[in-house]
Amino acid sequence: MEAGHAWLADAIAELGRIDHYIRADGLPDVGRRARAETRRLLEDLSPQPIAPVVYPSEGNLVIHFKAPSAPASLVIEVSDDGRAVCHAHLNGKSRRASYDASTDLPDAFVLEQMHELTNLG
Amino acid sequence: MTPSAPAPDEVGRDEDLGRSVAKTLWADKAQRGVISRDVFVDTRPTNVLSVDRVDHATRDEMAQIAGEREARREGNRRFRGWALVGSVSAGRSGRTVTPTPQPDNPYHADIRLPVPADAWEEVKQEKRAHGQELADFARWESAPQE
Repeated sequence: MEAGHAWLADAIAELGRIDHYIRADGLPDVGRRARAETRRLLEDLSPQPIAPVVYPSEGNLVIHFKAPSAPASLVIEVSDDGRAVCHAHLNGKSRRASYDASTDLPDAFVLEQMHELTNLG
Repeated sequence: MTPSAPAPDEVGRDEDLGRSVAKTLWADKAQRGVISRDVFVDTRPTNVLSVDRVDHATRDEMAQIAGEREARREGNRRFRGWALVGSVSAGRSGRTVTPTPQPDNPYHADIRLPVPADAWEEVKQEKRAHGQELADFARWESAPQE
């Protein structure tokens, strides 16, 4: 995987292809607000070295960062109602933070979990 | 095809358990190296995840079982591969693994999550956390015909 900002263009292109999968797999559609917020979050998180994958999930959008060589990940789920949830699975422990406003992200919790995820390698 | 021997009554510590995948989205992401959390999340009100005990038959036999199962589902879906998770990892965090042979799949097992069996909305975040953990431990294996 490429480092730093290099993955951002790929991630935004991946976001642009979600309608293909929604049609192919008969998934619930994703609203414009969730799409716009996901794109903003990708841009804000683009200094992070781990490249995420982006995919629709039950009408929401997921940004999924997986540690390259450890069973660990950070998942940010953005809803079209403006809410968001962040799930971290690191060092065998799961942590979760919920947000009434996805615009509050990325916050200290997300950046701290990303830092730990990156250091796992 | 000659059926393989029956699977043992207990799931061994070194067994791989395969969560079959038919969605294009999940297969494409898995081929890029990331198993989607949703592979291991069932949004219905249930606390079990169906898996195949793939080590007890040939891959071709297991793929035939999985392919026929997916074809029976709505949309006549095509089996794309398995997200494989070790039985020890599957049994972490309060989960249990139990052999549950079916008439059409003697190698069927259930991963049971420590959440109520009759709910979704109230426990969806817990189910998603278990799904994420299982996905982190999983690796992808494409169907033999892929």
